[in-house]
Amino acid sequence: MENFDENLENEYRKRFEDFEEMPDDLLWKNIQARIEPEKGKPLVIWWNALRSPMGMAASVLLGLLIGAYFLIKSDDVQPIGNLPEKPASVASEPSKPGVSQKDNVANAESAKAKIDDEGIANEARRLASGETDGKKATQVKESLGENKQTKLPASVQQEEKAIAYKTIEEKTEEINKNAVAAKPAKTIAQTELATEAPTKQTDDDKTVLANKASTQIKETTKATAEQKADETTLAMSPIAGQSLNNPAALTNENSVLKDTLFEHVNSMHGKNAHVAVTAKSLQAPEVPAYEEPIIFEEEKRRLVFIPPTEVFANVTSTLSYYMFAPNKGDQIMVNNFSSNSQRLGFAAQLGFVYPLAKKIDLRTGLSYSTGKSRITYGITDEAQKSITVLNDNSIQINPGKSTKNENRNWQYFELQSDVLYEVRKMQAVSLGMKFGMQTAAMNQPLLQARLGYRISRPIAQRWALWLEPSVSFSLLSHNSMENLFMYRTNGLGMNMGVSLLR
Amino acid sequence: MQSKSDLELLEGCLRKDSKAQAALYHQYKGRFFGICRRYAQSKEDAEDIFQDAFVKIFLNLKELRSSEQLSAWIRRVVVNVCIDYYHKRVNFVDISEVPETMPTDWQGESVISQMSNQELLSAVNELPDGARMVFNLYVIDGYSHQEIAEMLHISEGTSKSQLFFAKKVLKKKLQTIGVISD
Repeated sequence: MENFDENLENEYRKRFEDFEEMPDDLLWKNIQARIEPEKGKPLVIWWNALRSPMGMAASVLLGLLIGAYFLIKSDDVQPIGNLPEKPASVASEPSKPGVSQKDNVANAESAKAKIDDEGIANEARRLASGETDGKKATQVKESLGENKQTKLPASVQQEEKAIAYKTIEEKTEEINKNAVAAKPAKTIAQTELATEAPTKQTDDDKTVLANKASTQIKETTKATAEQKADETTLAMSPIAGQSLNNPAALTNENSVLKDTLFEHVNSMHGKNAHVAVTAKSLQAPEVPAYEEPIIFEEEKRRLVFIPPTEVFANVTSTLSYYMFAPNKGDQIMVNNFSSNSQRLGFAAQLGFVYPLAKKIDLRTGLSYSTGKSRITYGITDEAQKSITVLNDNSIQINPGKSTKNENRNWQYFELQSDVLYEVRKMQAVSLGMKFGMQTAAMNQPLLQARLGYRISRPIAQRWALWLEPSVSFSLLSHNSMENLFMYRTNGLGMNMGVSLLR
Repeated sequence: MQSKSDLELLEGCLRKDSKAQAALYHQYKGRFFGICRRYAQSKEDAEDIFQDAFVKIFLNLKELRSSEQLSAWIRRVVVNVCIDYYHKRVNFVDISEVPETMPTDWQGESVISQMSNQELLSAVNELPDGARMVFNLYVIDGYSHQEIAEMLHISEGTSKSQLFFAKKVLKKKLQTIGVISD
């Protein structure tokens, strides 16, 4: 018995240890189909919303809008804030129209830097030399390093010229006196008169220019102060809140404002003057520095091109079917529609396929389609009845019947998007929409829903040939040429395409 | 077809090269389909097991560290798939149902040696699932009872008794076949 067991085991071991049997060749095809690598997911996700077709469409639309905005937008820069209108006669050197207040302030800052570089001593020597007004002005211009380039407002430049002729103390006294003496209502008039004769740089002119500059500076400062902090203005001038019509208030305000504005000009007038002005400025409480809000930029997402899994080209032949709906009318009745000829249309399409999920792809492409339609229909027009007299006692009323043809050529540029669902290997159901704009003058849009079944076959390593029978349903109606009826175009199509696979 | 080394096949399969996959399949299909035929109850079952096993092999080749172990690894995968295939339906028959013993005058050894592979295979295939598994694992593939117990989640005693039962049944079947043959 034991001997038999051993023999049994040995016999089986000997016969079946290396036993081989060839399987059916069909098994390898099944295995191949199961181990075919799945279509890869997108390498990079733009952002979550972008993975959906709506997200892609929205991003394209957004990009177009942004591009259009920058194309349409003009280069003109509008002045910021409520700048006081400057009379044309005031400015001996009109400021550039395109330069805003902001630019002027920035340029004044750059002028200040240049002045500092040149040094205070040189400026003081020049001022004390007693040269002619014109020469002085030229020198000041030079010292400022080309006023034209600095783009300072003309009034400010005038002010700088006028003040440059005197020490700070003298200027302050003069300005205060003139400001008190001058009635506020006449200030502008005086300024205009002074600027009409710019070559006569008399003391009166200087005073008027100083007043003008002070007024303008005051308004500018007010605007700036209102924007940033009310307390700034209050700190600089205890009576800043008073009306401009109050001469006393205006005088004090002028002096303070002038000092504030010309802090960079004061630095030109020698050490003593500079110290005096500085001391005055220090009396005012410190203006709290304006803190720029800290903006944390979000980490920028990198937009990377997602390669499609498939690029395709196809041609489609479509057999159209029309559904008619006569328009209601009291006089004309339309019937007997016939559209049995010229129903075949053709289209060529190029597009891409993007993966959406494991078995779902988005196919989108642009196509050009062309076709013809020939619709014959009968009209019964009540207004065109004819009467035939049969005899003395009877007549026959003949309705106004006629037959008409409507021939059309259709040419569309279309955008087609479908969702492909892989039901089997190399086979997919497609469901989507097609939107087209007619290239002819009628320009009636086309909107169709379509359903198809795509069957693919590999023809080379990365190439596949496919056939896709489809049905399409029109979602928009077309009016006939004479507006007598409406019709929808449905169709049976056969797509034949070739795809280059990734 | 020019035969390739296991290393080349492995590298090609890891690159998802379809030619390498086909070469690997054709190189080993006979041997491993034979294993499936032993473990399966029918040829149809064997084909199902064979497909599942090769899909599993191609999808898990990256787990294989060395090309030298390729053949042994594939064999192990195939056997495991066979076990898994019948795992839910493995019914370890009560050994009390052991068939009658053979007549004493039956010359078993000479009968077995005269039988064809197909007859022997049919006899094994007709064994109950549990007994067939244990018989294949122990007698042909050379696993110990301890290993079989771990693989089938049974005790060693069950493995031994199932082997005993399998041999008894085989004797009965072979006796019948032998008698008919004679």
